[in-house]
Amino acid sequence: MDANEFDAFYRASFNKLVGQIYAMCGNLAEAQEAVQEAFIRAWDHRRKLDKDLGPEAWVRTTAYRLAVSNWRKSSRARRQPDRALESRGSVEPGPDRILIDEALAKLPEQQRRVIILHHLCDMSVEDVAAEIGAPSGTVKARLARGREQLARLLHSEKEFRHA
Amino acid sequence: MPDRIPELDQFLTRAKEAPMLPPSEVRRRGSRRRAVRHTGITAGALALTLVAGFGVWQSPIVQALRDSTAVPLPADPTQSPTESPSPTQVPVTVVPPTFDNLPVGEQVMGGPLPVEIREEYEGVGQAAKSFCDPGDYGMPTSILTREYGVQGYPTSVSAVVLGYDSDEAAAEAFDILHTAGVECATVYESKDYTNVRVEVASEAVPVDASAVDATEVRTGYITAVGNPPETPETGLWTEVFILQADERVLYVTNAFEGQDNNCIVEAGDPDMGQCTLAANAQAMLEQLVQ
Repeated sequence: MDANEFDAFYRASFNKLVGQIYAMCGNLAEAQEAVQEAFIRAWDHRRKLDKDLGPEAWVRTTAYRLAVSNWRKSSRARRQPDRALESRGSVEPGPDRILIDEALAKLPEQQRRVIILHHLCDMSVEDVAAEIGAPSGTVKARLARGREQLARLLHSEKEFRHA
Repeated sequence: MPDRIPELDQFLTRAKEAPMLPPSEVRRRGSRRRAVRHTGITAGALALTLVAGFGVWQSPIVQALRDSTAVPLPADPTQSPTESPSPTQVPVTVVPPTFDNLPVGEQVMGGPLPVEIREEYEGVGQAAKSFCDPGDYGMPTSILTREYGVQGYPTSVSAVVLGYDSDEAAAEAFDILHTAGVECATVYESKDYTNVRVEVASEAVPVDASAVDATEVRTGYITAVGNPPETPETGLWTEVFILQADERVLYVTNAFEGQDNNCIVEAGDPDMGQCTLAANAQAMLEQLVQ
């Protein structure tokens, strides 16, 4: 991958990957930081990008691990990640945004990740399995449990908020 | 095409305005990382050597762990097992660990029989320590291994002390090892083990960090079990204890066959439910930092 190809890949994928990692980790700023660092590392390791997973999967996996690592450090420091209510000046999050943020936060990390990879990144079960390094059966099981729990959380949250 | 969950699209929408560095700056920083990796000498650090030490596991099931390669963390492009560790400048305050920082026998194996130290060597050896061993320990500057057993029984416990050039590097390694333990079920399942269970009790193994001269102290404790396809009436148990104290990480693994494991860790239990590793966490911490 030469500089021109990298630049084109970077411009085309950056914001999309930030959105995907944001959905996985729940914090936009940390997602942006993780994806940025992942692209820096991607240029450092550019000879590896075309093999196996492909550049976008490589960057996404790297960014995810960075985001998880940063989240764990934050937890150790007793600073709770501001999952649902990031402050953006005077813009208040709407109820639907809080709903999905809180519902995703309640899913186990493994289920949340496969849900995002399959339903937001539009990856097939086999591609998800390859990216996370798990058997397809395991991915299907996590998807089924994750969807069931997500539906239950979204449904019960809506009922609660509209009581 | 997978079904869409419309609520998830909000994340893509919100991310559209995320600031990004110019591509030229990304490439500049990436090139600088490459330059730092390929220049400079680590002053005063032990060289990373992979000596051909190996555990003598006599059980045919556990023997399979020797024959299989260590399973790297799936899709872990941040670390390549084939890369040399980054040569970095080691601060003069970082003291590499020695064999004295590894646990003594009684700290890793309980029971009435005396514990033997079977082997000690630099490096991690050729065999994976267990199914939960990612084979990836980040970027250590030193690795020392000790293996234990009781007379008449196979070697089943290994302890690895890893030295890093910073707390952050050690923390990254801790995360790698802990994640591999948490996700260990995927390895069991990939080898057709059934009834796979993984229990993470890291929060239930407290240590008193104030009793030692260390700032960053973390513990991890994970147990896993699965029934082998060849002998489903028995189980292959894996017990993993991970301890970080500043720039050092201790990684202890107990892998054995059996029909049951009487070790159950629960928060608030001072005896740690007959789990030798968990019960000796404080002693191992003090050993690690001495």
